[in-house]
Amino acid sequence: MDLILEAFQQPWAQRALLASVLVGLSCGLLSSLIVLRNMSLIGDALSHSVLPGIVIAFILLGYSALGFFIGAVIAGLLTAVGIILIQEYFATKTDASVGIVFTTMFAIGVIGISRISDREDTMIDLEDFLFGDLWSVNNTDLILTLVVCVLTFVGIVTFYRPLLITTFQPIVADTVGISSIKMKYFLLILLTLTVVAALKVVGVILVVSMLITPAATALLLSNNLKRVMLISSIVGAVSAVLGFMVAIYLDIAPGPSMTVTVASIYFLAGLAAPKKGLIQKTLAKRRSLHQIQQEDILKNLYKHLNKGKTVSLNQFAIEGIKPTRLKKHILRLIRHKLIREKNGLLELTNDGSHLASKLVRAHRLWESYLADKMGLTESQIHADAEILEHHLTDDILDEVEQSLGFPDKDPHGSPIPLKATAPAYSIKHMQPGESAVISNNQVSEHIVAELWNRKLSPGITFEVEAIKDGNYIIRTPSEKVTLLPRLARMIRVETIGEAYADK
Amino acid sequence: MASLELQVEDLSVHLGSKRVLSNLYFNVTDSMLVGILGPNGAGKSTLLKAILGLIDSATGAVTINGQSIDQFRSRIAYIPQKDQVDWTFPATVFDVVYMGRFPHKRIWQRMNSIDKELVNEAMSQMNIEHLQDRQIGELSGGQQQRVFLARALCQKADLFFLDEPFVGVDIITEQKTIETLQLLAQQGKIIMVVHHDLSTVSSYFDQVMLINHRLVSYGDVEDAFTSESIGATFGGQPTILQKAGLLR
Repeated sequence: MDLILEAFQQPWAQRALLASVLVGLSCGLLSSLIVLRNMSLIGDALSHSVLPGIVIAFILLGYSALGFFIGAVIAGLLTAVGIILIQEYFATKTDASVGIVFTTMFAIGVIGISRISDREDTMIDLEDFLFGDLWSVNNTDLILTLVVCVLTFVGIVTFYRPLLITTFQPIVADTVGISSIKMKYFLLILLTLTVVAALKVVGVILVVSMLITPAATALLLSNNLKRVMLISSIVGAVSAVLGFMVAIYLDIAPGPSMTVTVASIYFLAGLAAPKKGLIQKTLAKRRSLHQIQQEDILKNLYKHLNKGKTVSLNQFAIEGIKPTRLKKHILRLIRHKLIREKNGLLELTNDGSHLASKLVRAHRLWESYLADKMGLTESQIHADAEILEHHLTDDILDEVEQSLGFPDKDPHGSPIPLKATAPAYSIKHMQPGESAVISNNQVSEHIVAELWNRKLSPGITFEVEAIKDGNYIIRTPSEKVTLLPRLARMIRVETIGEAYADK
Repeated sequence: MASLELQVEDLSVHLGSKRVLSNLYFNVTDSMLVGILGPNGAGKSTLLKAILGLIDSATGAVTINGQSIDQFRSRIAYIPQKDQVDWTFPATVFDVVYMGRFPHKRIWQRMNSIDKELVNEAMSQMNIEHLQDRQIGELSGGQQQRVFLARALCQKADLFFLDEPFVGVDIITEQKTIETLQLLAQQGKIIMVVHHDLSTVSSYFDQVMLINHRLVSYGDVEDAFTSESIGATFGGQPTILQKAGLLR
């Protein structure tokens, strides 16, 4: 630790640290867009192809930080244009054309460097460009890096909207008049500047790690682009600082140290991210397996009890669940007040029986759906329904029920339980000769859709004319409609007095 | 709203040596909901893209009220097929609907209360307000489709181009979508929909356009959607005709 603190007193170390943080920030910020656009290979290509620019600048101007910067930027931009032109005029695929251009540029650069470093007075070394030369950062380098960082930030903030839409759906952006190609060029310019600024810090070969890993990490942690950009910049800056400290402590090159640091942060996020992390996913899978088992217990109990059987804790067994696990689940269900134990016998509480009837409803509706709409036979449908009953939402079930025409029984002839939120007062509660108003507040969109199909708009007054074979025949001022008992049970009505009071 | 006319003259598209669309001529006037139908690979999606100027190799002229389509870009909404969308993209429902405002905003303008109101209005019209903070990949197929329709509404567009909007959506979304499109047509918009279900053509659309690399027929549904024209488009397979309810 003393070693690090001591180093921080030195001006060269302060400059190096500041440059690392600035590079970490701008690479991190830019990397979100680069990764989302699958442009990481281009970032790699640009970093390799700046070499000839630096060599030419050295030949023309000698050792000059500003000269190197300008030479590198020009070489980078020429590469970007070269790649796009090759794609357009030669029939070569994107990654192939990128590969051809950048390896050629890099090779020319290497040839140039080996030629000039034959001269005795040269201070230019290939290794510095490959792996960075952080300890020699001077004030000019620092100012250039700061300018690039500010430009990147201002550029992305200013053009946030066009960058967002052209990244998400370029053809839609072009349709509404936001040019995706202009935004692509804009991003290539920012990318070139950033890559060149990063050369001294991490070097040609490893700069791509700072352009990919921070965003890959951030994308594991958030679902909102602005937040992804923020997290990604922070990850970039933090790994620059940590990598820097490790480099001083272990006396190693700072570029590789930063690369390993940012990769470690990424792996940590991959394991422990709150929603998309591996640990969380594994736990969630386990939880969902346990929930399914507990739901199966409730359902089994519900079926047994409905047949008038008694069930004791010790005799209860379910295929596919180990007895010890079963006991644990039952104790948990008792704690959650879904089951209670009375004199050694198991009973369902009100909540437990609601939940169980919902599952049975899901199971039997889905079986009916498979039999009716898919033409499967009775023996084929059970296994599928057994799995899906745990995953079907109320909304899907309402839709299934509507498309089946509100059946009473499943293909095996067992009754399908009603939805738990069935209305307290429905047409089925009315006697012939009574009148009421169809409520504006129905239990689901699907009931409303059924009502419209029968020209029974909410708010309309009707009279129950007769009940025939369980079907309800009702009369409105203009229509006479026959309703199946199950649908009648689901239509919420209000007495004329209530409906009037509402208005 | 002033009257609107989409004019397409001699539109052709070649991809390599293959002719995808040949010499299409047609005019679509406002207040029309047009269904575009044809066999697989007949060039339906390509037609939409070519009209929108998204295909470089397209030749011919597409104008709106005699002017270049570029004059109207901010008033054109395009909903591509669902499989063309990156559903893992870090964007919420609100973010995507708000994109409908982008063409109307200058670079330096920030989101204001009018934008917010329009976004909320569009979301509530498509019944997705409660989902506004969800990432778009966490939605059902129908909800996803409603998000993109909400974006088009929020854009206050005059011309709508939809590519297979009913694929992989639930029945309620399909009804809601077609109701919304019919309403927009009544308000004087031009709406073109690539569609594949022959059985719903007459109840959904005002006009139908049958395509098989060339324009086979176009006009009001009663005139253009006949057993002869469907036969000419689809190669006269009897099952297709049966589906359309034209052969008993």
